[in-house]
Amino acid sequence: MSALLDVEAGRVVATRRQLDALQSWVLGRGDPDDPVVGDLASAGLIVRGVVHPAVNPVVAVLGSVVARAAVRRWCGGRRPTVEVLAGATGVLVLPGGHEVDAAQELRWHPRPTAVARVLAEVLGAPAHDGPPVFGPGRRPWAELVAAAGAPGGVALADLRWSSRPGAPLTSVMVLAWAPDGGVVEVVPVDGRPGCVTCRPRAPLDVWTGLTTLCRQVTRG
Amino acid sequence: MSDVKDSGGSHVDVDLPNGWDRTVHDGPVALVARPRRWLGDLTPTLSVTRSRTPDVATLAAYCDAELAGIVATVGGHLVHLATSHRPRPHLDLTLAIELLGIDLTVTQHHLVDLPSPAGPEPACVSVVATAVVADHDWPRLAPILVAAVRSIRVAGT
Repeated sequence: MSALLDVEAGRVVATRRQLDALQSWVLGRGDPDDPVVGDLASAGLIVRGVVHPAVNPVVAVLGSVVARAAVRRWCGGRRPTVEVLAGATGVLVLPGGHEVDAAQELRWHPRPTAVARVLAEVLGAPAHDGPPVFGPGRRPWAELVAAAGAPGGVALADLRWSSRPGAPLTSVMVLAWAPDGGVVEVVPVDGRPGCVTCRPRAPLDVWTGLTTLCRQVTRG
Repeated sequence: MSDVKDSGGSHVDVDLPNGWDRTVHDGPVALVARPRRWLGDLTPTLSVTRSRTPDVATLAAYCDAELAGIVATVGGHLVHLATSHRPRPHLDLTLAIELLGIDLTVTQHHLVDLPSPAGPEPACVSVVATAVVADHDWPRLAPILVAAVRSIRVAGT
């Protein structure tokens, strides 16, 4: 896939492979004969050996990540995983999944303190209250995935978080909801692998959970 | 508790958190309060304002007008939205926004006076309690700020 830079529209599209090459280039480890670097130059992301200024915020976040999140989502089927990187210079969103050659329509914010709001937007949980989409009874996780894979608008999201560079992602918040609200938190049942229970959550609880999670980043 | 007379001639009451002082009580802004001491980079505030929304006759229309106004002015992410007619018409609204380079949580409770069908023109008069806090302070202050804004009461003179 060819990278894309549209400065007027504020659009940068690149694959993870291209972003890695871009970061290597900035660090002085790039190979001018690498065809990926050639793609970046053709798209205008590298101009006469220098990264285009419009892409500097992206490169800056990639080089300063202190925390990252991955949101797995199901709604009418599996959606691409969205990765959110928080660094000292801002927040970067890669919405196109983990595949190295998948196009990433990049979004970024200049302040790391925006990370909680960015995660809330990515999760997309409803702002209104409603009857819980699932009751508290024990049920297989696969049942929730099946419900979110069927038409009807049930959504399921698994927020995974890593609080330091290199640390593995850990599931910290799993939510399900219906189009008319009714957010529940999905909690594993101890000693019953693959079995979960659901607890009603108010929209404010979800926001409080996100802001608590992100305090490490937002407190600077 | 803080009791002031707003520009509409009504008494507005709100339960302030412990350690908070009222600092302004004049004009359309009936009340502004903040902690006496605060070590963070953005001091949380609580304000009470009174406003009139013309051409709005129902709570649903008021809610739509508020949301349209927010989209047109501050944008941000809608965290919570609820309306109810009990015990009296009100709107609860919480937003995550960016303002002047600071990421903020804004939580509001609107007490809405719906117009009388026999009135001269449709317009809602609302008294709105608004708490503003930096996102990183929200987890600690959420319970007391939500309680404070929802404690607002208006009594006619």
